Amino acid sequence: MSNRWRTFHICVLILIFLLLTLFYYNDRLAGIPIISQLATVSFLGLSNYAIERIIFVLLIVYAGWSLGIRFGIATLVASALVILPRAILISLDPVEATIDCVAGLTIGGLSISLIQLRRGWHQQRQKLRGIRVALRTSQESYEELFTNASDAIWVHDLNGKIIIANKACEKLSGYPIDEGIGKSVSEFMSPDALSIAREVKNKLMKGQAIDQRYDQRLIKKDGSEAMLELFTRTIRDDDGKPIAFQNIARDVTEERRLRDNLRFQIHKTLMAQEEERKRIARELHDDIAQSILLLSRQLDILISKSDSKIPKTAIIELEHIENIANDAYKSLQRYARDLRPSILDQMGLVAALNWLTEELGKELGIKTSVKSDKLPQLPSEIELAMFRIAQETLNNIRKHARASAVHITVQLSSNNLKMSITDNGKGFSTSGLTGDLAREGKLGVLGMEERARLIGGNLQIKSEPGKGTTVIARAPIWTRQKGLIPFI
Amino acid sequence: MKMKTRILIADDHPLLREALSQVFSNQKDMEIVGQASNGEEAVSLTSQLKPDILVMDIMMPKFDGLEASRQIKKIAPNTAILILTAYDDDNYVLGLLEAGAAGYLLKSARGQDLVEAVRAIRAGESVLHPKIIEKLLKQAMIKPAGAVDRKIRDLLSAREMEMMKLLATGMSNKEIADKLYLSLRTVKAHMSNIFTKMTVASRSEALVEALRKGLLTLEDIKHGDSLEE
Repeated sequence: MSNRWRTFHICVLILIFLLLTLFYYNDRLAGIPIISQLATVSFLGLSNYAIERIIFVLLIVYAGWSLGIRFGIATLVASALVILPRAILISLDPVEATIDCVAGLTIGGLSISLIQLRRGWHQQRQKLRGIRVALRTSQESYEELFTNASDAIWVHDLNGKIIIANKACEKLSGYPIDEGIGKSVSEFMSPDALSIAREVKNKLMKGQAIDQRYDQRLIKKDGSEAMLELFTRTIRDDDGKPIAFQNIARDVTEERRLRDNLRFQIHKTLMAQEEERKRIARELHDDIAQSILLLSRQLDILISKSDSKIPKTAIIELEHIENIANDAYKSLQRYARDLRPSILDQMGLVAALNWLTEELGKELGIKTSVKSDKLPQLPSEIELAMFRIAQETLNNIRKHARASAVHITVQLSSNNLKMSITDNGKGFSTSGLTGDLAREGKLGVLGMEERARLIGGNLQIKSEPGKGTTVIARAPIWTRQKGLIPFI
Repeated sequence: MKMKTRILIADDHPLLREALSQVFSNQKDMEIVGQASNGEEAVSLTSQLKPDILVMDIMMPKFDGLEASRQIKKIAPNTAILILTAYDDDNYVLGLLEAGAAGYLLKSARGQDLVEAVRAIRAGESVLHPKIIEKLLKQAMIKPAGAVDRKIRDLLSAREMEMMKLLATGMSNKEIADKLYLSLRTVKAHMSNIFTKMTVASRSEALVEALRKGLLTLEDIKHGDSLEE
């Protein structure tokens, strides 16, 4: 009820109450002129002040109805205080008058009580209706979400028996829902998957929550395997004991396949690139370089023949030509070597790293060093990947770093190879995530990252502006190389 | 009459092989005893013909020149191997020397240089820059000095050991002769003996062997002008 109405009601109540009181005691107030004039009215022949009494009762009901039970009771008490004295002390028949008053007051009291009760009921009913509606809405929402969720959701008991499952489970498992209900989840899992599931169950039963999705595999009706990202939580009874597990699964089979496909493509591309480089290097070297060498040598022989009848001037020309040929040869050598350094194939990674750093040192006039643990014969793929990573890094140093010293260390510990390349150049700010660098297309990082990943390793770049840069490439060394794309 | 130096050429490129052969056969003190076109052939011809010098291209298909060197050294220790390499990278070269090469030259080396290199090897001279030697010795498998087998220690005479040490510092035969107040011929004779005793065919090999056997240490080869870093 708005405050304005309340105030109105209160004013009316008080006004009428006061008037009524005056009427009621008009004879005692005869001395006051206006009041005695007002007081001479009497209706319906009901004297004995009965009318006033009735109006008092009506006032009580009015107060209770418009302002609530508290006001009603207040008015009741006030009315009692007003009418009873006259009835008991002044009226001609006190007993009857008193009974009259009490009756009236009782009726008033009952009325306002009834009004209050009714109000109360009404409110309860409203509330209940509201609750019911809310509950229904919530339930409907949940059901809708459950049924139509794109993720598969199912609940199974502690023994793995499936209790409920949503529509998406059909799509995921290949089984219609009513076929699936009642089956044990173990029917859908391979031994590896089962052990993962067992681990998860143990954790959850101990009370540890699993906040993240974890990988799991599922065997579909047609026998194929689906890769899942699964989220499991415990459903407990009122005492907090676990009674069931709810699972929400996302089918990531396609996603993973695409990712591995992509990785495979990159791998193929890199390999093709390497092969191409190798081929070109070899052709440059074997074919063209040799021909030029031959050219050079024949000239040499011609010039140095002691019985040669070639005039002196011609010899000078020939020497000149021989120099040109030699230079051409050296250039070819350089190109071939930059493409595919045979030193890597013949002498191994450390020698090749030595070569790289020394070339850089000579070119830029900076200090370089290579330190390495004693290394066994490494698989050629690993040597090549590490070499290319180093090559790319040194290229970056050449282009950007303005460093005065470059150090490479190669360490081998418990079957893990770690190559660190540090320079004291101007560095750069990285968000720390190599991914960002790769995304920004900077520094050929993507290529380096991919190369590291393809040999089962990883790449890390640390740098701070003004504090230089460190590139760390790690890779596991297996004595027998597995297939190059571990399904991770 | 002095014996001609017997040379075997190994190169996979036929025209180059021809040209190389021509370079040497133009010399009066050299003769070509055979040509090989790959590493396998190089090994077999060497064991058959036992040339004094094998001039070999390091990069031949099918067969690694390095591997060929190792094998040849086993079957014909008195054949000195002069390797023709495309690169003169220190790192590259060190591997060659460890494999037993007597020396190396760039493939693009002038005929004159080739001839002189062969002559130098025959004379027991060094064909390597002292810095290379030092680098080699530092990086080669060096046994720590100390527990040297008595038998090995007695391998060389005192005089020969003295020469060995001077050899390690990169002195030429002439310089050694001057230092020890000996004639050049004497020095050469001693060299020859040293090579025979150590079953090597060249100075470089002798150094590597000496280090492997512990006859020399790094200290011995600290060279005046090679202390730069």
